[in-house]
Amino acid sequence: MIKCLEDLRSGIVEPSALVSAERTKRAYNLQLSKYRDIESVHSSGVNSLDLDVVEKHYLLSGCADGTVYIHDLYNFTGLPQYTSKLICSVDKTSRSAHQYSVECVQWYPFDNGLFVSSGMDKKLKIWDANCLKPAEQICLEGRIFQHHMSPIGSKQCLVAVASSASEVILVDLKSGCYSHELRGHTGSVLTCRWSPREENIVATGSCDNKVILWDVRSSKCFLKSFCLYSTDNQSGSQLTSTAHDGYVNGLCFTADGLFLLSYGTDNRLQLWDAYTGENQMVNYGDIPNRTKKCVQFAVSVNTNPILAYVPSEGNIFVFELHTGLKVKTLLGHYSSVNGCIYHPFLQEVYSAGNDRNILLWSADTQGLIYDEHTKSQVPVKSDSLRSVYYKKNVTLDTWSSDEDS
Amino acid sequence: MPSPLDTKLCQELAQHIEALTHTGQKVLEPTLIKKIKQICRSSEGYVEHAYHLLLHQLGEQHAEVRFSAFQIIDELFRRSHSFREHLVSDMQRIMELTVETNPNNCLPPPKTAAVNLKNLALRSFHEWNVQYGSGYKRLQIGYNFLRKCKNIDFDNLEFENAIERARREENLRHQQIVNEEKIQKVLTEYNDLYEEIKATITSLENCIKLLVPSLDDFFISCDNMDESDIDTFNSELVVTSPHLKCSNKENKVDIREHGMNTNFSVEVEIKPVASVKETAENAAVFENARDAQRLIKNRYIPRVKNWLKVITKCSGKTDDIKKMVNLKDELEKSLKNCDRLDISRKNSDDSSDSDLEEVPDKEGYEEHVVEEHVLFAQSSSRSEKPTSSKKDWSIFSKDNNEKDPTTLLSTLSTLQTTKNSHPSCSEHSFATTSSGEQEVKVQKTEEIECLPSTSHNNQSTQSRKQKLLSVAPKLPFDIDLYHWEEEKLAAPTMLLVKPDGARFWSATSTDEMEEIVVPEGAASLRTRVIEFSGRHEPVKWACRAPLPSGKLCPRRDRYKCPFHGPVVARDSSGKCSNPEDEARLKQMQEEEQQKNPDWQDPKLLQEIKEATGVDLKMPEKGKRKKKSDQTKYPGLTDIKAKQNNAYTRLAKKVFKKGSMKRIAQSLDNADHKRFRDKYGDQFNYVHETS
Repeated sequence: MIKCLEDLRSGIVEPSALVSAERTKRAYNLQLSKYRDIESVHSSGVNSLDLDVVEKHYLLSGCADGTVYIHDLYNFTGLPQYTSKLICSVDKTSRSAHQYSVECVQWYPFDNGLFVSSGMDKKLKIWDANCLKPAEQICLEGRIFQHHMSPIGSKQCLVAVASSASEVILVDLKSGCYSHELRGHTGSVLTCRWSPREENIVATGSCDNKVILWDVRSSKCFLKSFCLYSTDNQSGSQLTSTAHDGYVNGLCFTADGLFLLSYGTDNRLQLWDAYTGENQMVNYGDIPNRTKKCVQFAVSVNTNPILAYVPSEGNIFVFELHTGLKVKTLLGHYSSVNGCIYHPFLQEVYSAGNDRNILLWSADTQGLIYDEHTKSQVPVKSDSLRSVYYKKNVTLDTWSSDEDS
Repeated sequence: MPSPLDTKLCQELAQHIEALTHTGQKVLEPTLIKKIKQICRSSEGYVEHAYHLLLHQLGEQHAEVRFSAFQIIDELFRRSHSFREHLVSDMQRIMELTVETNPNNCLPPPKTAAVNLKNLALRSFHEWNVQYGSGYKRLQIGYNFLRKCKNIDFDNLEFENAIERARREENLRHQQIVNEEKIQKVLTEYNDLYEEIKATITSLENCIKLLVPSLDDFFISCDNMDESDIDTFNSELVVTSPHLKCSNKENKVDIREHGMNTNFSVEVEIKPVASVKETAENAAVFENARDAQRLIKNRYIPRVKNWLKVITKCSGKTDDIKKMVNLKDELEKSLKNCDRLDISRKNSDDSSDSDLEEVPDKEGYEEHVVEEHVLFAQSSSRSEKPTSSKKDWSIFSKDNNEKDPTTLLSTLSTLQTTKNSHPSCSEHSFATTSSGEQEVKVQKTEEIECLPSTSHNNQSTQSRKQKLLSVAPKLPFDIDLYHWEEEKLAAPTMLLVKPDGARFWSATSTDEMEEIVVPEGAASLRTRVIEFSGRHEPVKWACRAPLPSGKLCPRRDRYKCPFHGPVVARDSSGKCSNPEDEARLKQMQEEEQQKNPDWQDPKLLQEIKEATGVDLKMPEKGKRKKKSDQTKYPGLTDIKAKQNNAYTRLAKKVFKKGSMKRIAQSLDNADHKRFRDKYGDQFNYVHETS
């Protein structure tokens, strides 16, 4: 770090390279944060998380009992120890809450005064975040597993909805009704993602083992169906080509939109070229994955080897995207993890699990520096000294003397 | 990186841990745990090794092993940082193994140890969290997970007990309410009926009083009673106690006036049961008493008894119980009085209770059928009884009758009469006829003797024949005799009846019918079936060789028991009563043992075992090789021990394969029958069912 700063000062290294190096370092060194917490208020398993796009300030989470919570992530106390407080929540008792489990929540990408939630009660609700009232409520035919809004398509406000019906439905927020149905899957659709690069491209994954790429401008036929085995994409084989040997329950574009990761119940993760549809043939190994619903997973942003954070039952695996190397396993949850998201500004990961926790994973650089700082200023109050001493004491070996004999 | 681990130390560690976890004790042995700590202290590598060993022990399917393992874990957790790190990273699994966070993965038996383990683990988690929670984030999360998601109250560690207690209390409360209700019901019933019962009792008592006045009444009435009253009394008392009356009178009168001696004695005989005759005058009283008695006997006493049962079961107040008991005593007393008076006797004679009414005998009905004419018929049918027994066949049929002209006897008798009337009749011709007859006759020699056969030369041939005949075998008539004289026998044939369709459909001519030869051929006409004529003698003795169970062998073989060899005489304890037999049997047994190959000599095997450590002994026949944990770790509770409780015993019977099969079969049959009854006569279904 010091060397990098020195190089930067002497003009050897570009500032962006320094930023990238530091980001990468942090993204690699994630661990359960010792200093920061997210207030645990959830009354049942947390299914979905989302950060608001503009500021990355508010964390939105949807629960299995139909409640929705919003936490404030910003720490203005000046101390590394901080618990993110709950700002507001949609109670289960309120009339506007979802009847059954909330499967997916998402902020409106251009304004955090609006968010969309959907769930097993077959309803897509558009909320006014300020007064926490649903502005619109759209009933669909199937139970909704995931919905997604394009982060770049500002002209059109389309929400792609993946539900237990085999059609992918595009809901136009402006009119409040369906604009398209994308027909191509034969099983229920578990996941859908808009491309962050092309505003009309959406990818969907389904129970029929297929991953299909659509151009919403021509809803008559799909653009591409990813094929696991053959690299040459003939149109004839597209109808039968499968991307996985099991349900596809997770999709994620890289931040630049060039690659698409798909996650299946065949315990595999596949990396695809989003333009050519080629399988990149990266072997991530066996990743236990048994959930029959959508799993949210994330990739790091602006790090040099891009990292993927993939929930697998109670753990989160960290992979290097292009080599498939398993970097780390994040151990923390006590039951299966439903989703995780990456915070691009703080290089942190938030994960949500069935054990009613949202865990915060960070490199804790800030806290460590702060600790060093407090240690260097030795003559402080006796109280704090004791606390520091106590804290150190906890992690020491304490073999008693009677074992010597 | 720490220096490589010493394998010897590792082995020692493993041995210690194994020994410590398999003691089955609740408290760890201090010397062993000290040794383990000592080894772990030397390097972090050993800590890790110990951790893995302990985790393996924690996965054993035995709660006692897990309990001990967790105790060691607790000890090491409070010592070593690296142990804590390892454990915290595996916290989920450890929780699953100790406090059954996964409902599909329950704690293994024995149950008490499992409960102890759970309590210990929860207490330890709590202490760990208080002590080390600040340093190990995941420990904290796990603790919160247990508290929030598994609803474990760490303050008093009564996670499930609370629910159970609540349920128990609820049950108790419910039971109490039910009891209250029952008691209340009984009391209201009691109050309702009390007056009625009392009234019945008093009415019965009054009736009795009327019928049999008590002694007090006597004395009172005797003083100031006018004649007529006394008379009426007497009229009753004459019946009841004549002796008593007599003595009473005598008290009043001077005995001398009656010409009696002063020193005479009067024997008063008091009948234990006073009997009162029912007359037209007291019929109403009797009726009344009977009614009351019946009411008490059939209605009130069972009712009161029932009340008492309910009230004692529901633990009612003692006052109530006392009241009931008093009432019951009263009822029983009055009933007893009644019985003594024998009021109900007439009642029973009336048999108004009995459903069966006696009907007067019908005229001309005979209970016993007279068998006279049958006997007569039997005797008359055999005026001249043939001597032959029923079994033996004779040419003379048993029904031979003189009056029947077709029978031999009749001809004989006619011949006799003709001979008697015409003695000069040619004897020769007659003799020939008689001798010709005798060829046919087999048995009836006595009768034949009475026939006239005076010719001398015939006499000798006849005696020779008789001799021969007595030697010749006597056989009943059968198929072989039927064909006796046919020299060449054609093999018998039979006509094959074609099974398809009736004869209406096929040609009727016999030509087309297939004729086949009976497989045995002509021999079948020459053979004779002879039934076994010997008598079955049941075996009167059992083997009675002593069995390992202490009983005697119950097999009843005639000569040799398949298990214990030849059957010999034995005494009541199963010992041979004949010493020779015993010696013989012993010898045979020894021979049997000798059959073991010589390399199975126990001495040789022992030597081999000592030298090489290999046990070459053949497993004993019929005994399965069994090396249970029980022998290995005597301290542990045997969880595989077969449970011999009522459930398993019943299950063994109920779920036996045979019985299941039988039941399934009968159910199937019932189903099939029902189906057939319903649809059997419908054309569509007939083919499907059958």
